Amino acid sequence: MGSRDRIVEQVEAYIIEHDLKPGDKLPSEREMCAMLDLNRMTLRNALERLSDFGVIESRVGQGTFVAQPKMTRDLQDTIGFSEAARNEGRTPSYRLVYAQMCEANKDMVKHLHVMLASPVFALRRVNQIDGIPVSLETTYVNARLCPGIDAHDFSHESLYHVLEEEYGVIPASGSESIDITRVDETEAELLGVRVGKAAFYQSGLILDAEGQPVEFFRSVVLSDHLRFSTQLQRVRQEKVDE
Amino acid sequence: MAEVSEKSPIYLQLREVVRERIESGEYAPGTAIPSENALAKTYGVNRLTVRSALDALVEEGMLKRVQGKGVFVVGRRIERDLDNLTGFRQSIRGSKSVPGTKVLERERRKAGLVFAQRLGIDEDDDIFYVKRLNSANGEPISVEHVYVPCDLIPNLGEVDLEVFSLYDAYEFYGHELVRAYQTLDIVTLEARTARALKVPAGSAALLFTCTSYDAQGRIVEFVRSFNRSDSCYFTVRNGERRA
Repeated sequence: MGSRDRIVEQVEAYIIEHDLKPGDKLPSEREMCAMLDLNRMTLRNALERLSDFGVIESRVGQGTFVAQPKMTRDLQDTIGFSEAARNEGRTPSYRLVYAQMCEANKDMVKHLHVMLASPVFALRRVNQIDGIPVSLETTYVNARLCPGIDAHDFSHESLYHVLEEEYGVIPASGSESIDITRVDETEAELLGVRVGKAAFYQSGLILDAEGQPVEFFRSVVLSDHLRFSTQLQRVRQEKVDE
Repeated sequence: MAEVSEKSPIYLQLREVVRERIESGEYAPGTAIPSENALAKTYGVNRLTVRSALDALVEEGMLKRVQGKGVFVVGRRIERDLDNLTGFRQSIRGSKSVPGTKVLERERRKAGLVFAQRLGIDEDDDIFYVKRLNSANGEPISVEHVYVPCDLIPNLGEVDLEVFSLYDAYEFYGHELVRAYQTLDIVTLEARTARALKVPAGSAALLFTCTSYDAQGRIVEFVRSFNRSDSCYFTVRNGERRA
């Protein structure tokens, strides 16, 4: 193993050995350097990686702490952001950027399978967990399925909740893809991060039970607070090949 | 198959010797058998005889010839649809890519606290650590760190991982992966990994972490994979929603 990998492991082992919990403070860099017999630079590199892993967080002027676990977003379910956050015992909230009816453009026609100029509900919000911005989501909903949806107050209402309760539209399946992007000026301001920071770029299409497109969305998601997950199961259809 | 006796042609006798050693496990799945030259020397036959002895076993799929590397034992394999367990489907940008793998490091070591916890074993248990570089069409795609408990795959140390995939090795030893849990994060690449992936240090990469289980619920591997962001992306299909 490379030396950096080894140091990363040593620091993690320290956390396990001392049974440190999220929010607990690690020894100072000076102490850790002495303990592990390292120079400051090497230790910092390792801490940076552990921070990327979501194991620790550095707070300026205060030191290094065991990080709160990131919120995990299961990509195989089709529940909305707020339900997912609540399932993990977090408090979801939104900051509304806009919520308005518009006419389907060419892009929306392609994704939502609607006629050009057909009504589309466009919603852009900053999703927050425990008050911290974690993603900027822009979604386009086929408004033929939910006329009058723009009358709702999406600064606190869940889109999926409204779709289900009021319109009987149940997001049932879909597909999405994930990539890396660099946040632009608008996104940086809304998310409270620096321009050019690397973030997930998630885009996808959600269908109802009949396979009809309900919404397509694009999200810029901060990896500092959220990670994606999938759980896989082998489909039992094997044949033994001898 | 016809009975082979001392009266049978020598190449047939040699074939049965090799077959018997594969079946007994003396020649372990995933490892190379002695070279054709070595076999020829040991048994006082010429190389052509050895070659024809092995040909049938290659034909039967028990052995695999790899140019410039030797002849390898292939274990029993189960046919499967890779996508079933690939999860975040890693799509290589561009089509018709030729995959390649280069082992950068491998060692047998103690699990230690961190990997004991990740693999659900004791800290004094041995594990295999493999670091490798995956590529497509010769372009680097990802650097992977793989951790496997030794007692599950005892011969992993000798399996040629540029010839067989780790999944092959698991299956040879009866630990077919049936379930996996994966997460995706963004990380900043440090100089060494960045260099291996041919991107500037400090570039952002997708970190893919995967824990895979066999049918008995034992953890077969823990993998961290650093993926160059411009060469692949991930797609996933949302499952049916429970009513």
